[in-house]
Amino acid sequence: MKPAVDQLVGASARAVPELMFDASEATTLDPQASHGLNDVLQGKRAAQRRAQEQQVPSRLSQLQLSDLLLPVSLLVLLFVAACAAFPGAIAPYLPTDMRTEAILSAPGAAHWFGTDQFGRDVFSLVVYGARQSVLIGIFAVLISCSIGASIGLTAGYAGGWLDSVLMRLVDIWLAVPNILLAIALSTVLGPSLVNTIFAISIAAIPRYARVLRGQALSVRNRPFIEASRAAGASHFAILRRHVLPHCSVQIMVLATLGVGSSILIGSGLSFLGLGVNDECPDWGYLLTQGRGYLTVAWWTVTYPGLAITSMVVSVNLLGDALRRRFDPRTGPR
Amino acid sequence: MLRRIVERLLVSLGVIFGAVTLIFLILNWLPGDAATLIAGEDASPETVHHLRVKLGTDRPLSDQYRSYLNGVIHGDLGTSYVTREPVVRRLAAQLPSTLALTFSACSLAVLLGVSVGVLSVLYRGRWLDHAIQSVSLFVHSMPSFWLGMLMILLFSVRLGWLPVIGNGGVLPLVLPVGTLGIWLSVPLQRLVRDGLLESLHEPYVTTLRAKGLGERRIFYVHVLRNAVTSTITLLGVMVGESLSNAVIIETLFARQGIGRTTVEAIGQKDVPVVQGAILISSVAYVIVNLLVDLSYTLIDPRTRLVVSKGTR
Repeated sequence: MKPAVDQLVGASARAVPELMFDASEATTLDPQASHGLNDVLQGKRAAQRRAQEQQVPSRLSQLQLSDLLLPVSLLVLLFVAACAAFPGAIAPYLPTDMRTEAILSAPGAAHWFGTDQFGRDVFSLVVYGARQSVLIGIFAVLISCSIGASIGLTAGYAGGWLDSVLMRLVDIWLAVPNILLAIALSTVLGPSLVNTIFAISIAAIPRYARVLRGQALSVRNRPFIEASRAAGASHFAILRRHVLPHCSVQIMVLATLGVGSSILIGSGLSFLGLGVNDECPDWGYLLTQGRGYLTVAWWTVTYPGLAITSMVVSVNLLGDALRRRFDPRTGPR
Repeated sequence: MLRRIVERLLVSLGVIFGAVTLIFLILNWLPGDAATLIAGEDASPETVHHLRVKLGTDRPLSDQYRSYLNGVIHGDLGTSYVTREPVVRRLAAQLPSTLALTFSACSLAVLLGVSVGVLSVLYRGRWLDHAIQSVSLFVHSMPSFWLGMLMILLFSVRLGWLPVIGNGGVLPLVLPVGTLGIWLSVPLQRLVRDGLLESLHEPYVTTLRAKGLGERRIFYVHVLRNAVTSTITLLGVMVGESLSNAVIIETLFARQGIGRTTVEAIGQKDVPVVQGAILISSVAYVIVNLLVDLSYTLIDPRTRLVVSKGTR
């Protein structure tokens, strides 16, 4: 395997200068035109530089803000992960612990987040509910991102009829609003964790496909792709070794942001009664239950919702940070 | 121009046809049988079979698909398993309520998104901008129904200004529309802000400055118009999101509408109603996207120029 790679890299390295020479020859055919182009490019670059200079203060303050928020969000994610892995060690009570003497009691020293209508400790319920949200977030993204990326990269790289067919399918897929698609799937499949993850994944696939097709499209005509094709690399090998690595940053950012939206859709499904409802309810289902006691016990809905929101905020901040760190094209916002 | 419009119309028709097929396949072909679900786990095989014959799900799938497609073309979405009522009639009765919700929510979102985005740019780098961006990040990461619950807690429970549930009149509409509108406005606000910040550095602004135009006029007349035009693209996505979230918001506020009907139908395993409701939302979504696409060609002179050059 390894020598083949070296050969491939060697071949592409050898082939590139030739191709570049071709390109430069083409542009120097008309010196006047290239001169004009250079002027334009220089002007644009100067404008960009000016823009950057002008934006320095706002970018600095932005950096300070995210510098402050990023560690906090990482801590939140760490804590949620700990809750998901060892809920028993963190929660003071069991999620099945019903205390009839403490039904709907307000937050206090004994119950930090209060108790619900069954006398269960809301803090413990939130801790035990973390696992489902984390599992949904991670696995839905793993499935949807890998399938969506495969479709998108294949379509963008292949072009032609395959691209048209795949993208028409994606268009149709996108025509059904994603929550409704997930609702339809989980209606048929019935409530269970695996089915919820499946439904959310299927609904999220076309978005990954759309974006990554664009990425692959921008890579496919680069000289090194042509070079490795000339060197005899198979299409699959090119996709895996050249196109995929070129899109890895996009995939990483999309996947991170996708965790947040998967958790949101998952909580929505739970809220509608389509999610998992065993003895260890997830955050969305806690909100459904608390909804009936909204007017008398604000804590039954406030804390589970806060848990969802803080986790999604953290994931989104992480995604934004990744994008800023790795993608030079998205400028300061 | 006309060729492009016709082309887009045909593509949209194709997409709608595909969506009908997709929804049909999901609800009828995937494992999970309505008859078994309705009859319950304890039902005997004969009962299930009898029910299947009655519902028409014993026929081969291609047969069912053909008759369903034929029905859709003639405006017939089947009959409800539960009430034996035509699905079209049932959904048509709920449509006005959902339209009122989604239309007002989208209008509010555009109003809020544009004005807050502009405000954010006017105060860029200062505390107001930071506050707006932080709140946006937070709202963007909330489930829409939790935002709704917080609004209920604040405006109905604590302040007692607004009713929580109800269908008639304007007052019960305030909280659902407010919730959905605020929730939808966040991506728009960000797009407006990014667009404005970007176009403030475009060469044409320098030209305008060189011409001696005042900053105020440059911003409000030229830059703003460009940025707002670009937000039209987001309108299609927004309508899709509002239709999706109408299901959740209507359930939360116990409002009538297509979304709540869908949720009820899911509880009763009433496949034709679920199918019809999702179909209507998808068709609406495709049509709005088509209109957005076409209006973009009308509004933005750059795309028009390319098109007229191509056809000439």
